[in-house]
Amino acid sequence: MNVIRYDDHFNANEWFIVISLFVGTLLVLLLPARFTIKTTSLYLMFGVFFGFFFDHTLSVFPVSFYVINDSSTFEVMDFLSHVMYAPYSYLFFYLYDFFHIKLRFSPMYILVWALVSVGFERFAVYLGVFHYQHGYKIYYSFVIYLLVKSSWVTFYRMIQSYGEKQF
Amino acid sequence: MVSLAVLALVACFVMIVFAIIPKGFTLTEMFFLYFLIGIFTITLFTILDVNLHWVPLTRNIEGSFAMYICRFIVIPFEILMSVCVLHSHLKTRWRWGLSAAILLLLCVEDRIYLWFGLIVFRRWNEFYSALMYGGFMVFIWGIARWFVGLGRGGFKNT
Repeated sequence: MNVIRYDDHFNANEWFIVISLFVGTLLVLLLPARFTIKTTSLYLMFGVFFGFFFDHTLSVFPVSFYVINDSSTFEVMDFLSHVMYAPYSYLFFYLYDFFHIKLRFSPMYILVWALVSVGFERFAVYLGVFHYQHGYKIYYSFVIYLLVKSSWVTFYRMIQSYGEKQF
Repeated sequence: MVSLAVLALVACFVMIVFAIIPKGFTLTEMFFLYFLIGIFTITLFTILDVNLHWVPLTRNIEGSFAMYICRFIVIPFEILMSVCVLHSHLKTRWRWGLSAAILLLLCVEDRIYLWFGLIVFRRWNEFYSALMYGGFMVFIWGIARWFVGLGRGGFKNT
């Protein structure tokens, strides 16, 4: 298998990940606590897992729609780029809970977050975090964001209703 | 479509067993553990395949989809089941015995992936696989013990 390599330097894409992680962590720490520690950990984990799930489905064979960061091999920065999603998912759940968003307004909330996510991804592509290939377009990501955010709202409601129930 | 169908069937059996057994965890804990196991499974598979080339995965479409099932359902849910068993109030020999049975099942499934050509062992063998799965189970069990005790009597400012 051929390894694709874009560069070997610590440049814009790495800085974007480091700064995003730093700002995100600061945000999580500074926001007043709204959930139990367990629920907070879970909401942080949502972003990381879904990042892993989609990036390791779409960026590997058979589709290989994009390369993450400097090369097609798995690097520490790739791992951190997934961890970067943790504060992002936390903020999604935090604001959803904070504004007491009703189910009928959820699609609007999901759409706003999907558009914001596409904006961030566009910026990340510009900085070299993602390198699209095989005809992948950012519009495809928009659909994925809509699906992910919709599932997050479903999960949020499940956790709120049955989160503490033992099975 | 044999490998995909077989893996889907295996995944279905795993889900049936998982749905039946008493888990002993809350939904929040189970989601957390599943996500964690999923992340580690994906990371391990990717490093062994893409970085080290020790366990290369098939490049055909059917096989790739079969491996998605394996990575996101079969392995994570079996590891999660073993953690449920290790965390249960069963007698020690039962807990370790059942976990060993799950470990054996994971090794048998590795053989199935090899038969179907979904993976190839290069600088790797079944003993390493068993070690990896065993270590993985114990590691996640340790995390589960920590997570269950996390924030006991915690806060909720809503």
